[in-house]
Amino acid sequence: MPESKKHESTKPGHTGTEGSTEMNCKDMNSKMADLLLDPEQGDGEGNSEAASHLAECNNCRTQLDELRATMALLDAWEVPEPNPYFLTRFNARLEEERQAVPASWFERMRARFAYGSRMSLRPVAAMAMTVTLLLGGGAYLGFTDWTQPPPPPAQAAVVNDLQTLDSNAQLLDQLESISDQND
Amino acid sequence: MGRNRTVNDASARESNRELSGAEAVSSASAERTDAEIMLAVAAGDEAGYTYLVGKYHRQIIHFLFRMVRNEAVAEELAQEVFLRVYRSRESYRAEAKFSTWLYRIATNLAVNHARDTKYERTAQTVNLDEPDSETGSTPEVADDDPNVEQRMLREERMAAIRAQVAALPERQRMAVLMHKYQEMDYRQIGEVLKLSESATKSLLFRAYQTLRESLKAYA
Ligand SMILES: [Zn+2]
Repeated sequence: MPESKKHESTKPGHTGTEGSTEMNCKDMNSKMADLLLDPEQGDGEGNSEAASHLAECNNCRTQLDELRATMALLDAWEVPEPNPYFLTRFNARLEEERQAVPASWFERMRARFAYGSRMSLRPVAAMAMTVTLLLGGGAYLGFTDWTQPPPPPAQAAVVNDLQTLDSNAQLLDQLESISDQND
Repeated sequence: MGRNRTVNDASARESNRELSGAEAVSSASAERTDAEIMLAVAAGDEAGYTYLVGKYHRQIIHFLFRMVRNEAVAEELAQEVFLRVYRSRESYRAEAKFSTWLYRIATNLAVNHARDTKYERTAQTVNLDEPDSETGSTPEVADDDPNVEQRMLREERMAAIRAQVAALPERQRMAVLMHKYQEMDYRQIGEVLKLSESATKSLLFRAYQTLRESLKAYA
C-alpha cells in the first residue's frame, strides 16, 4: 500500500490569501470524509481547493487532525489470540455435526436452546423451540419413538441470516436516523 | 502491534480479487480463490473446508471479540459461523467474495447476540473502571513499580476505546471494526452491511466523528 502524504496544507502555490471565496467550511465538511478515509486521493489535484482551505482554516485543520488522531488511537486496542484449542474443539463439534442423523440434530437443537451452552443464550428462542417441539411431536421427551423429522433445508440458515440482516439493517437505519436527529 | 495479520489479510484480498473479471480464467492454473475452494467444498471437498476454517478463524474471532467483548462468547459465535458455512455449503454461490459471505454471517450472529443479551448489558452500565475483560483482571503490580502509572494510563485508554466503540450505533460499530481492524475496503464493508460505497463512507465518517468527541481526552 502506497505511503500517503499527510500534509496537503503545506503544498506550495496554494497559500490563497484571498482564497476564502473558493471553498468555505461547509463545503469542507463534505470533503472531510474523503480526506480522512481516502488519504491517497486527498492529495490529488482535484483537492487543491480543499488543501488551500485547510492551509488557511484552523478549525478545519484541527478537525481533520483530531479525526486522524482518533483513528490512530484505535490501533491501541489489541485483542487476545484465540484459544489454542479452538480448532480442536471446533473439529469435535463439526464431527458431531457430520455424524448427526436428523433425529439427533433435533435433539441437539433442543438441548442447545433449552439448556444453552455456557452462553445461556436466547431464552425466547428456547421457549419457541420447546413450543415447536410440543406442537410438532408431543412426546418429545421420549425421543425413542420419534420419527425422523425432515432435515432442515440446507440454505435456510443463511437465507435467514441475510433476511434478518436486512430487517436489522432497516431497523438500525431508523434507530440511527432517530439518534441523528437528537444529536 | 499485531500487524502480522495484515499480511494474511492482504493476500486473502489479493486472491479474492482474482475471482472477478476474465483474468480468473487465465489464472486458473494459479492458486484457487477462496470462492473456488468453497464451491469445491459444496461438491464434497472436506479438505477445502478445513483450509478455509484454518485461514479465517483468527480474524473472525477477533472481529467477534471486538463486537461482543467476551472471549468465550466470541469463540462460541465463531464456531457457529463456521458451522453455518458448513451446513449451507451446498447453497453457496460465488456471487460475493467468500469472506464477505463469512462476515455477513458473523455480523448477523453478533447482532442477534447483542439483541438477546440487551437487558443484561443495559443493566450493567458502561463503566470505565471495570477490570480489563481481555486480560482477565487488573494486573496485580507492586505499588513501587515505576511503570504502574503508565500501565494504568494505558489501560484506562484501552477501556475508554472499548467502551466508546461499544457505544456507537450497531452498524457504525460494525463498520469501524471492519474498517479499522479487519482492513476491509469500503466496497466489501458495504457488501456486508448492504450499503453503497458512499453510504458506507458516510457511516464510517459519522462514527469517527463521534469517537473523536468521546475519545478527545485520550487521542
Ligand atoms: Zn474551515
